[in-house]
Amino acid sequence: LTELNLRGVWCAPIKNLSATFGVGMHVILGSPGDGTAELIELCAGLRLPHRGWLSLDGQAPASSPETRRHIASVLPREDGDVKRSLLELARRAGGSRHFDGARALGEFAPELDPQRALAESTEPERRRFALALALGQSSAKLLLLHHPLSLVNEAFEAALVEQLAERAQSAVVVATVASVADARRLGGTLGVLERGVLSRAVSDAWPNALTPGLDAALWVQCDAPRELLGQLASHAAVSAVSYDERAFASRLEVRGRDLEALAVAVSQAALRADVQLQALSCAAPDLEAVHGASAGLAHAAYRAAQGNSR
Amino acid sequence: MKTGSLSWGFADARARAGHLWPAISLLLGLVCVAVAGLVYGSAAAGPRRVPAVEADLVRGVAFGLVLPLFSYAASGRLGSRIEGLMRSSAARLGEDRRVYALGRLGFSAAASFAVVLTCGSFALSLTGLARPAVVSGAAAGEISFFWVLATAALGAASYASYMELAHLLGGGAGRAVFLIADWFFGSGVGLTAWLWPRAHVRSLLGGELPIGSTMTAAIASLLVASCLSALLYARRVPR
Repeated sequence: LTELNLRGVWCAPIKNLSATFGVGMHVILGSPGDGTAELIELCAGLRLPHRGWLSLDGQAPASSPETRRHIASVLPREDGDVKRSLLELARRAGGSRHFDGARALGEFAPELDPQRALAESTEPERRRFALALALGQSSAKLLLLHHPLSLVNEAFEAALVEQLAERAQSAVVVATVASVADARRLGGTLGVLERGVLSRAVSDAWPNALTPGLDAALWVQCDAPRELLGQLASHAAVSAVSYDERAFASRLEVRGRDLEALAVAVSQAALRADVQLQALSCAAPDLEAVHGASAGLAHAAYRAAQGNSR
Repeated sequence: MKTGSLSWGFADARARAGHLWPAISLLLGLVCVAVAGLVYGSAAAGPRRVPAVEADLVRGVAFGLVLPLFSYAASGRLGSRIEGLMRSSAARLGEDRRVYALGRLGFSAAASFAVVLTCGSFALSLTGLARPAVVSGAAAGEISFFWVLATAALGAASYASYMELAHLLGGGAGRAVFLIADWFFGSGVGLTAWLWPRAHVRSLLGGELPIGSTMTAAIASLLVASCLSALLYARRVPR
Protein backbone atom coordinates (compact mmCIF):
# COMPACT_ATOMS: atom_id res chain seq x y z
CA LEU A 1 0.00 0.00 0.00
CA THR A 2 1.14 3.51 -0.73
CA GLU A 3 2.74 5.33 2.16
CA LEU A 4 4.16 8.80 2.59
CA ASN A 5 6.92 8.85 5.18
CA LEU A 6 8.56 11.83 6.81
CA ARG A 7 11.49 11.18 9.11
CA GLY A 8 13.05 14.02 11.08
CA VAL A 9 12.30 16.56 8.35
CA TRP A 10 13.58 20.09 8.87
CA CYS A 11 12.69 22.91 6.52
CA ALA A 12 11.95 26.24 8.15
CA PRO A 13 9.52 26.64 9.82
CA ILE A 14 9.04 22.85 9.94
CA LYS A 15 11.05 21.33 12.74
CA ASN A 16 11.94 17.68 13.06
CA LEU A 17 8.70 16.46 11.56
CA SER A 18 8.12 12.72 11.61
CA ALA A 19 4.89 11.21 10.38
CA THR A 20 3.51 8.43 8.25
CA PHE A 21 0.52 8.94 6.03
CA GLY A 22 -1.13 5.85 4.61
CA VAL A 23 -3.99 5.57 2.16
CA GLY A 24 -6.85 7.78 3.35
CA MET A 25 -7.67 11.37 4.12
CA HIS A 26 -5.22 13.26 6.32
CA VAL A 27 -6.01 16.80 7.31
CA ILE A 28 -3.34 19.09 8.73
CA LEU A 29 -4.68 22.06 10.61
CA GLY A 30 -2.46 25.12 10.78
CA SER A 31 -1.88 28.60 9.48
CA PRO A 32 0.63 29.35 6.67
CA GLY A 33 3.06 30.55 9.35
CA ASP A 34 2.92 27.12 10.95
CA GLY A 35 4.50 25.52 7.89
CA THR A 36 1.52 24.07 6.02
CA ALA A 37 2.70 25.60 2.73
CA GLU A 38 6.21 24.19 3.18
CA LEU A 39 4.80 20.78 4.09
CA ILE A 40 2.81 20.59 0.86
CA GLU A 41 5.78 21.68 -1.27
CA LEU A 42 8.12 19.25 0.50
CA CYS A 43 5.76 16.34 -0.05
CA ALA A 44 5.28 17.34 -3.69
CA GLY A 45 9.05 17.20 -4.21
CA LEU A 46 9.28 20.88 -5.06
CA ARG A 47 11.40 21.75 -2.06
CA LEU A 48 14.38 20.01 -0.51
CA PRO A 49 14.41 19.34 3.22
CA HIS A 50 17.40 20.86 4.99
CA ARG A 51 17.64 17.71 7.03
CA GLY A 52 15.71 14.47 7.28
CA TRP A 53 14.16 12.10 4.80
CA LEU A 54 10.87 12.20 2.98
CA SER A 55 9.66 9.38 0.76
CA LEU A 56 6.67 8.11 -1.12
CA ASP A 57 6.89 4.34 -1.35
CA GLY A 58 10.59 4.53 -0.53
CA GLN A 59 11.49 7.15 -3.16
CA ALA A 60 12.21 10.80 -2.42
CA PRO A 61 9.86 12.92 -4.58
CA ALA A 62 12.41 15.76 -4.83
CA SER A 63 14.93 13.55 -6.61
CA SER A 64 12.73 11.04 -8.39
CA PRO A 65 10.82 12.19 -11.49
CA GLU A 66 9.05 8.82 -11.60
CA THR A 67 7.67 9.38 -8.08
CA ARG A 68 6.55 12.91 -8.90
CA ARG A 69 4.52 11.50 -11.78
CA HIS A 70 2.26 9.91 -9.15
CA ILE A 71 1.75 13.11 -7.17
CA ALA A 72 -1.01 15.61 -7.86
CA SER A 73 -0.96 18.85 -5.95
CA VAL A 74 -2.52 22.22 -5.34
CA LEU A 75 0.23 24.47 -4.08
CA PRO A 76 -0.09 27.48 -1.81
CA ARG A 77 1.23 29.61 -4.65
CA GLU A 78 0.77 28.54 -8.22
CA ASP A 79 3.28 30.18 -10.57
CA GLY A 80 1.66 32.14 -13.33
CA ASP A 81 4.41 33.27 -15.67
CA VAL A 82 3.38 30.84 -18.40
CA LYS A 83 1.82 32.46 -21.44
CA ARG A 84 0.09 29.32 -22.69
CA SER A 85 -3.67 28.85 -22.39
CA LEU A 86 -5.23 26.74 -19.65
CA LEU A 87 -6.47 24.25 -22.23
CA GLU A 88 -3.02 23.85 -23.74
CA LEU A 89 -1.47 23.36 -20.30
CA ALA A 90 -4.20 20.91 -19.30
CA ARG A 91 -3.56 18.88 -22.46
CA ARG A 92 0.17 18.92 -21.84
CA ALA A 93 -0.31 17.80 -18.24
CA GLY A 94 -2.72 15.13 -19.39
CA GLY A 95 -0.29 13.92 -22.03
CA SER A 96 2.49 13.72 -19.47
CA ARG A 97 0.39 11.91 -16.85
CA HIS A 98 -1.88 9.88 -19.12
CA PHE A 99 -5.22 11.46 -18.35
CA ASP A 100 -7.63 13.65 -20.29
CA GLY A 101 -6.56 17.11 -19.17
CA ALA A 102 -9.12 18.97 -21.26
CA ARG A 103 -11.93 16.86 -19.84
CA ALA A 104 -10.67 17.34 -16.26
CA LEU A 105 -10.64 21.09 -16.83
CA GLY A 106 -14.20 21.08 -18.13
CA GLU A 107 -15.46 18.74 -15.43
CA PHE A 108 -13.80 20.13 -12.33
CA ALA A 109 -13.39 23.80 -13.20
CA PRO A 110 -16.19 24.60 -15.65
CA GLU A 111 -16.21 28.27 -14.68
CA LEU A 112 -12.65 28.81 -15.97
CA ASP A 113 -12.14 30.05 -19.52
CA PRO A 114 -9.94 27.36 -21.14
CA GLN A 115 -8.60 29.78 -23.75
CA ARG A 116 -7.30 32.20 -21.15
CA ALA A 117 -3.55 32.25 -20.59
CA LEU A 118 -2.29 31.12 -17.21
CA ALA A 119 -0.31 34.35 -16.90
CA GLU A 120 -3.53 36.35 -17.22
CA SER A 121 -5.36 34.31 -14.58
CA THR A 122 -5.65 35.40 -10.99
CA GLU A 123 -4.01 33.43 -8.19
CA PRO A 124 -7.31 31.77 -7.07
CA GLU A 125 -8.00 30.84 -10.71
CA ARG A 126 -4.57 29.28 -11.07
CA ARG A 127 -5.10 27.27 -7.91
CA ARG A 128 -8.56 26.26 -9.13
CA PHE A 129 -6.93 25.10 -12.37
CA ALA A 130 -4.40 23.07 -10.39
CA LEU A 131 -7.25 21.54 -8.37
CA ALA A 132 -9.05 20.51 -11.56
CA LEU A 133 -5.91 18.81 -12.87
CA ALA A 134 -5.27 17.14 -9.52
CA LEU A 135 -8.80 15.75 -9.43
CA GLY A 136 -8.51 14.63 -13.04
CA GLN A 137 -5.51 12.40 -12.31
CA SER A 138 -7.29 9.32 -11.11
CA SER A 139 -4.06 7.30 -11.03
CA ALA A 140 -2.24 9.63 -8.62
CA LYS A 141 -0.98 7.88 -5.51
CA LEU A 142 -0.66 11.07 -3.51
CA LEU A 143 -2.91 14.11 -3.55
CA LEU A 144 -1.58 17.22 -1.81
CA LEU A 145 -4.04 20.02 -1.39
CA HIS A 146 -3.44 23.36 0.23
CA HIS A 147 -6.71 24.88 1.51
CA PRO A 148 -8.85 23.00 -1.05
CA LEU A 149 -12.22 24.16 0.25
CA SER A 150 -11.26 27.81 -0.11
CA LEU A 151 -11.12 27.27 -3.89
CA VAL A 152 -14.69 26.23 -4.51
CA ASN A 153 -18.05 27.85 -3.97
CA GLU A 154 -20.70 26.34 -1.71
CA ALA A 155 -22.42 24.63 -4.62
CA PHE A 156 -19.31 22.64 -5.52
CA GLU A 157 -18.06 22.12 -1.97
CA ALA A 158 -20.13 19.01 -1.23
CA ALA A 159 -19.12 17.49 -4.58
CA LEU A 160 -15.45 18.20 -3.87
CA VAL A 161 -15.63 16.65 -0.40
CA GLU A 162 -17.30 13.59 -1.91
CA GLN A 163 -14.71 13.40 -4.67
CA LEU A 164 -11.85 13.62 -2.19
CA ALA A 165 -13.40 10.99 0.05
CA GLU A 166 -13.64 8.71 -2.96
CA ARG A 167 -10.00 9.36 -3.89
CA ALA A 168 -8.97 8.71 -0.29
CA GLN A 169 -10.13 5.09 -0.74
CA SER A 170 -7.17 4.32 -2.97
CA ALA A 171 -4.65 7.17 -2.51
CA VAL A 172 -2.96 9.15 0.19
CA VAL A 173 -4.75 12.50 0.42
CA VAL A 174 -3.07 15.18 2.51
CA ALA A 175 -4.98 18.44 2.83
CA THR A 176 -3.88 21.44 4.82
CA VAL A 177 -6.58 23.69 6.21
CA ALA A 178 -6.57 26.87 8.24
CA SER A 179 -10.00 26.48 9.82
CA VAL A 180 -11.52 23.86 12.05
CA ALA A 181 -14.75 24.07 10.05
CA ASP A 182 -12.90 22.98 6.88
CA ALA A 183 -11.18 20.17 8.77
CA ARG A 184 -14.55 18.96 9.99
CA ARG A 185 -16.00 19.01 6.48
CA LEU A 186 -13.11 17.03 5.04
CA GLY A 187 -13.06 14.39 7.78
CA GLY A 188 -10.29 11.79 8.01
CA THR A 189 -7.43 11.90 10.50
CA LEU A 190 -6.48 15.28 11.86
CA GLY A 191 -3.09 16.63 12.89
CA VAL A 192 -2.38 20.03 14.34
CA LEU A 193 0.70 21.74 12.94
CA GLU A 194 1.93 24.43 15.24
CA ARG A 195 4.98 26.59 14.49
CA GLY A 196 6.45 23.80 12.40
CA VAL A 197 5.75 21.02 14.87
CA LEU A 198 3.04 18.41 14.47
CA SER A 199 1.91 18.97 18.02
CA ARG A 200 -1.15 16.75 18.21
CA ALA A 201 -2.96 14.01 16.38
CA VAL A 202 -6.65 14.47 17.07
CA SER A 203 -9.41 11.91 16.58
CA ASP A 204 -11.80 14.40 14.96
CA ALA A 205 -12.39 18.11 14.46
CA TRP A 206 -15.06 18.48 17.12
CA PRO A 207 -14.49 20.75 20.15
CA ASN A 208 -14.23 17.94 22.69
CA ALA A 209 -11.21 16.55 20.87
CA LEU A 210 -9.66 19.75 19.57
CA THR A 211 -10.12 22.05 22.53
CA PRO A 212 -10.61 19.79 25.56
CA GLY A 213 -11.21 21.71 28.74
CA LEU A 214 -12.54 24.72 26.88
CA ASP A 215 -16.19 25.58 26.44
CA ALA A 216 -17.89 24.39 23.28
CA ALA A 217 -20.21 26.81 21.51
CA LEU A 218 -23.50 26.14 19.74
CA TRP A 219 -25.16 28.50 17.36
CA VAL A 220 -28.91 28.34 17.69
CA GLN A 221 -31.09 29.81 14.98
CA CYS A 222 -34.69 30.27 16.10
CA ASP A 223 -37.79 32.44 15.66
CA ALA A 224 -37.76 33.92 19.22
CA PRO A 225 -34.20 34.16 20.52
CA ARG A 226 -35.06 36.36 23.52
CA GLU A 227 -37.50 33.79 24.94
CA LEU A 228 -35.03 30.99 24.39
CA LEU A 229 -32.26 33.01 26.02
CA GLY A 230 -34.42 33.46 29.12
CA GLN A 231 -34.95 29.71 29.37
CA LEU A 232 -31.30 28.83 28.75
CA ALA A 233 -29.72 31.34 31.10
CA SER A 234 -30.51 29.31 34.19
CA HIS A 235 -29.73 25.86 32.76
CA ALA A 236 -26.97 23.93 34.53
CA ALA A 237 -25.30 22.75 31.30
CA VAL A 238 -24.99 26.28 29.97
CA SER A 239 -22.08 28.40 31.11
CA ALA A 240 -22.81 31.44 28.91
CA VAL A 241 -25.39 32.65 26.43
CA SER A 242 -24.87 35.61 24.17
CA TYR A 243 -27.17 37.38 21.77
CA ASP A 244 -26.23 40.17 19.39
CA GLU A 245 -29.44 41.47 17.89
CA ARG A 246 -27.67 43.84 15.47
CA ALA A 247 -25.33 41.29 13.98
CA PHE A 248 -27.51 38.17 14.04
CA ALA A 249 -31.16 38.94 14.83
CA SER A 250 -32.27 35.32 15.10
CA ARG A 251 -29.13 33.65 16.44
CA LEU A 252 -27.99 32.80 19.95
CA GLU A 253 -24.57 31.58 20.96
CA VAL A 254 -24.71 29.10 23.79
CA ARG A 255 -21.55 27.94 25.57
CA GLY A 256 -20.97 25.00 27.82
CA ARG A 257 -18.56 22.20 28.67
CA ASP A 258 -20.33 19.35 26.94
CA LEU A 259 -21.61 19.75 23.40
CA GLU A 260 -24.24 17.00 23.70
CA ALA A 261 -25.53 18.33 27.03
CA LEU A 262 -25.77 21.76 25.43
CA ALA A 263 -27.81 20.42 22.53
CA VAL A 264 -30.17 18.66 24.94
CA ALA A 265 -30.48 21.83 27.03
CA VAL A 266 -31.33 23.88 23.95
CA SER A 267 -34.01 21.48 22.78
CA GLN A 268 -35.56 21.28 26.28
CA ALA A 269 -35.54 25.07 26.56
CA ALA A 270 -37.10 25.39 23.11
CA LEU A 271 -39.90 23.04 24.14
CA ARG A 272 -40.52 24.91 27.37
CA ALA A 273 -40.54 28.32 25.73
CA ASP A 274 -42.48 27.07 22.72
CA VAL A 275 -39.79 28.38 20.37
CA GLN A 276 -39.30 27.06 16.86
CA LEU A 277 -35.66 25.95 16.30
CA GLN A 278 -34.49 26.61 12.77
CA ALA A 279 -30.87 25.48 12.88
CA LEU A 280 -28.37 24.19 15.37
CA SER A 281 -24.69 24.23 14.51
CA CYS A 282 -21.50 23.76 16.38
CA ALA A 283 -19.32 26.85 16.30
CA ALA A 284 -15.83 25.89 15.21
CA PRO A 285 -13.07 27.07 17.53
CA ASP A 286 -10.49 29.29 15.88
CA LEU A 287 -6.83 28.37 15.48
CA GLU A 288 -5.83 30.43 18.50
CA ALA A 289 -8.15 28.40 20.71
CA VAL A 290 -6.74 25.16 19.24
CA HIS A 291 -3.17 26.30 19.85
CA GLY A 292 -4.15 27.45 23.33
CA ALA A 293 -5.55 24.00 24.05
CA SER A 294 -2.31 22.44 22.74
CA ALA A 295 -0.31 24.63 25.10
CA GLY A 296 -2.61 23.68 27.98
CA LEU A 297 -2.27 19.97 27.19
CA ALA A 298 1.52 20.25 26.88
CA HIS A 299 1.68 22.08 30.21
CA ALA A 300 -0.49 19.46 31.89
CA ALA A 301 1.67 16.66 30.44
CA TYR A 302 4.80 18.43 31.69
CA ARG A 303 3.36 18.83 35.18
CA ALA A 304 2.30 15.21 35.22
CA ALA A 305 5.78 14.10 34.15
CA GLN A 306 7.33 16.26 36.87
CA GLY A 307 4.96 14.77 39.43
CA ASN A 308 5.90 11.24 38.38
CA SER A 309 9.62 11.95 38.58
CA ARG A 310 9.25 13.23 42.12
CA MET B 1 18.02 11.11 -21.73
CA LYS B 2 14.37 12.09 -22.10
CA THR B 3 14.02 14.31 -25.14
CA GLY B 4 10.58 15.39 -23.92
CA SER B 5 12.10 17.13 -20.89
CA LEU B 6 14.78 18.67 -23.11
CA SER B 7 12.30 20.11 -25.58
CA TRP B 8 10.06 21.20 -22.68
CA GLY B 9 12.94 23.16 -21.19
CA PHE B 10 13.81 24.64 -24.59
CA ALA B 11 10.17 25.62 -25.23
CA ASP B 12 9.77 27.13 -21.75
CA ALA B 13 12.89 29.24 -22.19
CA ARG B 14 11.70 30.35 -25.63
CA ALA B 15 8.30 31.29 -24.21
CA ARG B 16 9.98 33.19 -21.40
CA ALA B 17 12.22 35.06 -23.81
CA GLY B 18 9.24 36.19 -25.88
CA HIS B 19 9.66 37.84 -29.28
CA LEU B 20 10.49 41.41 -28.40
CA TRP B 21 13.44 40.82 -26.11
CA PRO B 22 15.58 38.77 -28.58
CA ALA B 23 14.73 41.21 -31.39
CA ILE B 24 15.76 44.23 -29.32
CA SER B 25 18.95 42.48 -28.17
CA LEU B 26 19.86 41.64 -31.76
CA LEU B 27 19.13 45.18 -32.88
CA LEU B 28 21.31 46.57 -30.08
CA GLY B 29 24.11 44.22 -31.10
CA LEU B 30 23.87 45.33 -34.73
CA VAL B 31 23.81 49.00 -33.73
CA CYS B 32 26.88 48.36 -31.59
CA VAL B 33 28.73 46.81 -34.57
CA ALA B 34 27.59 49.59 -36.92
CA VAL B 35 28.67 52.39 -34.57
CA ALA B 36 32.00 50.68 -33.92
CA GLY B 37 32.41 50.22 -37.70
CA LEU B 38 31.89 53.93 -38.28
CA VAL B 39 34.34 54.87 -35.52
CA TYR B 40 37.04 52.39 -36.57
CA GLY B 41 36.46 53.08 -40.29
CA SER B 42 36.90 56.81 -39.93
CA ALA B 43 39.95 56.35 -37.72
CA ALA B 44 41.66 53.95 -40.11
CA ALA B 45 44.42 55.64 -42.08
CA GLY B 46 44.09 53.80 -45.39
CA PRO B 47 42.88 50.77 -47.32
CA ARG B 48 45.61 48.58 -45.85
CA ARG B 49 43.94 48.97 -42.48
CA VAL B 50 40.78 47.12 -43.59
CA PRO B 51 41.84 43.73 -42.10
CA ALA B 52 42.66 45.45 -38.82
CA VAL B 53 39.25 47.12 -38.73
CA GLU B 54 37.65 43.78 -39.59
CA ALA B 55 39.49 42.10 -36.73
CA ASP B 56 38.45 44.85 -34.35
CA LEU B 57 34.84 44.60 -35.39
CA VAL B 58 34.54 40.80 -35.43
CA ARG B 59 36.89 39.93 -32.57
CA GLY B 60 36.49 42.99 -30.43
CA VAL B 61 32.88 44.01 -30.91
CA ALA B 62 30.83 41.03 -32.11
CA PHE B 63 32.64 38.31 -30.14
CA GLY B 64 34.34 40.36 -27.46
CA LEU B 65 31.46 42.61 -26.47
CA VAL B 66 28.12 41.47 -27.91
CA LEU B 67 28.56 37.74 -27.16
CA PRO B 68 29.49 38.03 -23.45
CA LEU B 69 26.93 40.77 -22.81
CA PHE B 70 24.15 38.93 -24.60
CA SER B 71 24.96 35.70 -22.76
CA TYR B 72 24.96 37.65 -19.51
CA ALA B 73 21.56 39.15 -20.28
CA ALA B 74 20.13 35.86 -21.59
CA SER B 75 21.09 33.90 -18.49
CA GLY B 76 19.54 36.65 -16.36
CA ARG B 77 16.30 36.54 -18.28
CA LEU B 78 16.06 32.83 -19.01
CA GLY B 79 18.21 31.18 -16.37
CA SER B 80 16.73 29.83 -13.18
CA ARG B 81 18.14 29.30 -9.77
CA ILE B 82 17.53 26.08 -7.85
CA GLU B 83 14.27 27.36 -6.34
CA GLY B 84 12.85 28.16 -9.76
CA LEU B 85 13.88 24.83 -11.25
CA MET B 86 12.53 22.96 -8.23
CA ARG B 87 9.11 24.53 -8.73
CA SER B 88 8.98 24.33 -12.52
CA SER B 89 5.79 22.89 -13.93
CA ALA B 90 7.75 20.31 -15.89
CA ALA B 91 9.39 18.96 -12.75
CA ARG B 92 6.03 18.91 -11.03
CA LEU B 93 4.60 16.78 -13.78
CA GLY B 94 7.41 14.28 -13.43
CA GLU B 95 9.98 15.46 -15.95
CA ASP B 96 13.67 15.13 -15.15
CA ARG B 97 14.82 18.53 -13.86
CA ARG B 98 18.38 18.05 -15.08
CA VAL B 99 17.35 17.38 -18.65
CA TYR B 100 14.79 20.17 -18.45
CA ALA B 101 17.49 22.57 -17.20
CA LEU B 102 19.76 21.52 -20.07
CA GLY B 103 16.92 22.31 -22.47
CA ARG B 104 16.73 25.81 -21.04
CA LEU B 105 20.49 26.15 -21.37
CA GLY B 106 20.18 24.95 -24.97
CA PHE B 107 17.86 27.80 -25.84
CA SER B 108 20.18 30.29 -24.22
CA ALA B 109 23.09 28.92 -26.27
CA ALA B 110 21.03 28.88 -29.47
CA ALA B 111 19.92 32.48 -28.97
CA SER B 112 23.52 33.57 -28.26
CA PHE B 113 24.67 31.73 -31.37
CA ALA B 114 22.04 33.41 -33.56
CA VAL B 115 22.83 36.88 -32.22
CA VAL B 116 26.61 36.60 -32.41
CA LEU B 117 26.52 34.98 -35.85
CA THR B 118 24.33 37.78 -37.18
CA CYS B 119 26.53 40.45 -35.61
CA GLY B 120 29.72 38.73 -36.79
CA SER B 121 28.36 38.35 -40.33
CA PHE B 122 27.25 41.97 -40.30
CA ALA B 123 30.74 43.04 -39.24
CA LEU B 124 32.25 40.93 -42.03
CA SER B 125 29.89 42.39 -44.62
CA LEU B 126 30.62 45.95 -43.43
CA THR B 127 34.34 45.48 -43.97
CA GLY B 128 33.62 43.48 -47.14
CA LEU B 129 31.90 46.54 -48.60
CA ALA B 130 35.08 48.53 -48.13
CA ARG B 131 37.42 45.81 -49.30
CA PRO B 132 36.68 45.22 -53.04
CA ALA B 133 37.34 48.81 -53.96
CA VAL B 134 40.76 48.93 -52.44
CA VAL B 135 42.12 45.41 -52.09
CA SER B 136 41.89 42.63 -54.62
CA GLY B 137 41.89 39.02 -53.42
CA ALA B 138 42.07 37.73 -49.89
CA ALA B 139 44.24 39.90 -47.72
CA ALA B 140 46.44 38.65 -44.94
CA GLY B 141 44.62 38.48 -41.60
CA GLU B 142 41.20 38.32 -43.22
CA ILE B 143 38.59 36.44 -41.17
CA SER B 144 36.57 33.89 -43.14
CA PHE B 145 32.87 33.27 -42.62
CA PHE B 146 33.60 29.66 -41.74
CA TRP B 147 35.61 30.72 -38.71
CA VAL B 148 32.93 33.19 -37.68
CA LEU B 149 30.36 30.37 -37.87
CA ALA B 150 32.50 27.87 -35.98
CA THR B 151 33.56 30.37 -33.34
CA ALA B 152 29.97 31.54 -32.91
CA ALA B 153 28.87 27.97 -32.22
CA LEU B 154 31.69 27.19 -29.80
CA GLY B 155 31.69 30.60 -28.15
CA ALA B 156 27.90 30.71 -27.69
CA ALA B 157 27.87 27.20 -26.19
CA SER B 158 30.70 27.94 -23.76
CA TYR B 159 29.46 31.39 -22.71
CA ALA B 160 25.88 30.14 -22.26
CA SER B 161 26.90 27.17 -20.12
CA TYR B 162 29.39 29.21 -18.07
CA MET B 163 26.82 31.96 -17.50
CA GLU B 164 24.02 29.55 -16.57
CA LEU B 165 26.33 27.80 -14.11
CA ALA B 166 27.40 31.14 -12.62
CA HIS B 167 23.75 32.19 -12.37
CA LEU B 168 22.76 28.93 -10.71
CA LEU B 169 25.58 29.20 -8.19
CA GLY B 170 25.58 32.89 -7.47
CA GLY B 171 22.61 34.54 -9.15
CA GLY B 172 23.16 37.99 -10.66
CA ALA B 173 26.34 38.51 -8.65
CA GLY B 174 27.72 35.18 -9.89
CA ARG B 175 27.16 36.16 -13.51
CA ALA B 176 28.70 39.58 -12.96
CA VAL B 177 31.78 38.06 -11.33
CA PHE B 178 32.19 35.66 -14.25
CA LEU B 179 31.78 38.45 -16.80
CA ILE B 180 34.39 40.65 -15.11
CA ALA B 181 36.79 37.76 -14.56
CA ASP B 182 36.43 36.71 -18.21
CA TRP B 183 37.18 40.24 -19.31
CA PHE B 184 40.08 40.61 -16.92
CA PHE B 185 41.82 37.26 -17.24
CA GLY B 186 40.59 36.26 -20.70
CA SER B 187 42.08 39.36 -22.32
CA GLY B 188 45.62 38.26 -21.44
CA VAL B 189 47.77 35.55 -22.96
CA GLY B 190 49.14 34.03 -19.74
CA LEU B 191 48.30 30.64 -18.31
CA THR B 192 45.28 32.08 -16.46
CA ALA B 193 43.74 32.94 -19.84
CA TRP B 194 43.31 29.22 -20.53
CA LEU B 195 40.30 29.04 -18.23
CA TRP B 196 38.30 31.76 -19.90
CA PRO B 197 36.35 31.48 -23.17
CA ARG B 198 37.32 35.01 -24.21
CA ALA B 199 40.94 33.99 -24.82
CA HIS B 200 40.04 31.00 -26.96
CA VAL B 201 37.34 32.82 -28.94
CA ARG B 202 39.87 35.55 -29.70
CA SER B 203 42.49 33.05 -30.80
CA LEU B 204 40.05 31.24 -33.13
CA LEU B 205 39.45 34.54 -34.91
CA GLY B 206 43.11 35.16 -35.55
CA GLY B 207 43.99 36.85 -32.28
CA GLU B 208 46.80 36.04 -29.89
CA LEU B 209 46.87 32.52 -28.52
CA PRO B 210 47.28 31.91 -24.80
CA ILE B 211 50.78 30.64 -23.89
CA GLY B 212 51.31 27.08 -25.06
CA SER B 213 48.01 26.96 -26.95
CA THR B 214 47.25 26.07 -30.55
CA MET B 215 44.11 26.45 -32.64
CA THR B 216 43.24 22.82 -31.99
CA ALA B 217 43.79 23.31 -28.27
CA ALA B 218 41.55 26.38 -28.35
CA ILE B 219 38.74 24.43 -30.01
CA ALA B 220 39.21 21.56 -27.58
CA SER B 221 39.28 23.96 -24.63
CA LEU B 222 36.00 25.57 -25.66
CA LEU B 223 34.39 22.18 -26.22
CA VAL B 224 35.59 20.78 -22.92
CA ALA B 225 34.64 23.96 -21.05
CA SER B 226 31.14 23.89 -22.54
CA CYS B 227 30.58 20.24 -21.72
CA LEU B 228 32.11 20.46 -18.28
CA SER B 229 30.18 23.55 -17.19
CA ALA B 230 26.94 22.13 -18.63
CA LEU B 231 27.59 18.90 -16.75
CA LEU B 232 28.32 20.76 -13.51
CA TYR B 233 25.20 22.86 -14.07
CA ALA B 234 23.06 19.76 -14.52
CA ARG B 235 24.65 18.00 -11.54
CA ARG B 236 23.75 20.92 -9.27
CA VAL B 237 20.06 20.48 -10.09
CA PRO B 238 18.16 17.72 -8.26
CA ARG B 239 16.57 15.24 -10.64
